[in-house]
Amino acid sequence: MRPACIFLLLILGAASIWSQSESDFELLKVTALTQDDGRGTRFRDPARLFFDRNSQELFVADAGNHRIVILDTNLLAVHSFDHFVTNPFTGETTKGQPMAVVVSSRGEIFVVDALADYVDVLDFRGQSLERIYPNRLLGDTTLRIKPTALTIDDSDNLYLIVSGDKTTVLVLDASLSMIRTIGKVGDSPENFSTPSAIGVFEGRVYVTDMHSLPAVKVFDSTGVYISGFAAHDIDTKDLSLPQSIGFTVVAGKVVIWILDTLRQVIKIYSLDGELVFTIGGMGTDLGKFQFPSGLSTDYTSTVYVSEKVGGRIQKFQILYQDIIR
Amino acid sequence: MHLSKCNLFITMCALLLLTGCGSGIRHSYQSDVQFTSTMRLAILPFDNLSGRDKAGEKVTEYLFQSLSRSEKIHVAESGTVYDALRRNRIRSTTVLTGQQIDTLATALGVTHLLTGSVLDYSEQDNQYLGKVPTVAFTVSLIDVSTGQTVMTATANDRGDRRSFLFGIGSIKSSDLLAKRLADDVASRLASRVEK
Repeated sequence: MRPACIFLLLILGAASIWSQSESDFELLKVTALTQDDGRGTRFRDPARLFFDRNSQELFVADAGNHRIVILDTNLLAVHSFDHFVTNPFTGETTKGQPMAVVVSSRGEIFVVDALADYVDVLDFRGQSLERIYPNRLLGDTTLRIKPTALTIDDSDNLYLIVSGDKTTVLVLDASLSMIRTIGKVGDSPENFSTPSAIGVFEGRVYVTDMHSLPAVKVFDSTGVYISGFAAHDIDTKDLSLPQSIGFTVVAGKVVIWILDTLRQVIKIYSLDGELVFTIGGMGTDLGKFQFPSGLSTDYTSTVYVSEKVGGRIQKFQILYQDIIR
Repeated sequence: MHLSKCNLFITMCALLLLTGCGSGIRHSYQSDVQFTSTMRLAILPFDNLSGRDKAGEKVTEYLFQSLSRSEKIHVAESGTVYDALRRNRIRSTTVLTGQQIDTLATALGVTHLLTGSVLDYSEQDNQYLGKVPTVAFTVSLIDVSTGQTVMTATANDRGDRRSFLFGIGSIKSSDLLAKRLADDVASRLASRVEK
């Protein structure tokens, strides 16, 4: 018997999320929700999520509780472990504040922590194996830079946003050797001001930026800028604080899910940057959000969303496949 | 008469001191369980609920060292155990399904799995004794043929429990205390194995 504090809510039609632009059909349904790790500890400021398609597990960076929580596809807890970091000044080991997590096909867990200037590489149980220091990769240990977000592709290439003395995207191969950097600080469309989220799908790299334009920048696999979309204005297709990116293939077409923490919504775009749908809105009901912080998809029909203030993880099932007409 | 009162006092003091020297381990066995000398054991990595970095790994390692010294018990190599867990992506070892137990038993060729959680692994400052460590962990022994837990133990001790007077005999580090507790658990388990 699982602890009663885990809520597994199977909703029968009650939690439909309706599009802002369309009105007559059900797009998504909340099929599960959890607020804790199965041992009675509620999520506190959960940050980003990662759905590992190999193990069919959802990894949650539970920043306020200093740990990584692993859930199954019904959002029932599988395992959790504290994340520890080393203070660069005192050398002391303290509990960290994990902000982002991804998992390789080999099961290695990569964690970005707000209190660390490195990416922690952990084994399948959360034991530290090695650390990736971005400044060492860039060949200058005097640089004060921190990783802020990361993603991984099907070939286990790691894409890492770093900021500080240098703001760029580092691309590492499966052996953790640096292949290239993408972008730098600048005003032109291919450069960044405050990159906030990164996603990779079918050889394209998508980076959101909180200040520069366009808000979503698209690069090819070699790091060449292709295009961008969305601004930071008040239009419905614009974004204020994009924090997470996901992708699904629906009816043979790729759609991009971008989570906007400030607007409390998830916007769904077509590959050419057209806004297709918006879901969410602020609230405590199912399908609503209180400062959503992370999203991850299984690339087909399921989207998981974490809420920083709401302290919840919601699982959405995509019902209506033909959303791009 | 005077002498016997003195003896009684000394005996009482000795009993009080001995009470303070208890090992802090509570064992519970299935009433009829007796392990045979063919017992082959795999020690699974302990879950760390203590909030102290690497506490789970340390207790696992101390138990491995203590049990490996016993001639009565064959202990599977820790690297082999780790590899089996990794290949099967078994993350939590305190909540094992029947299928996971079978998988590990087949992969490792063992008759029993030893698992547990570290609950406390800390050191507190004391103005008289300096550092006073506290270590607490639970242990469960699973018979893979039935999937049942045949032994449980709770090991819980403070560094100053063995202190005789003015801190003499107290243990100053969590690591040393954990080693002692692991030795106790191992010796009690070994004592249940038939020769």
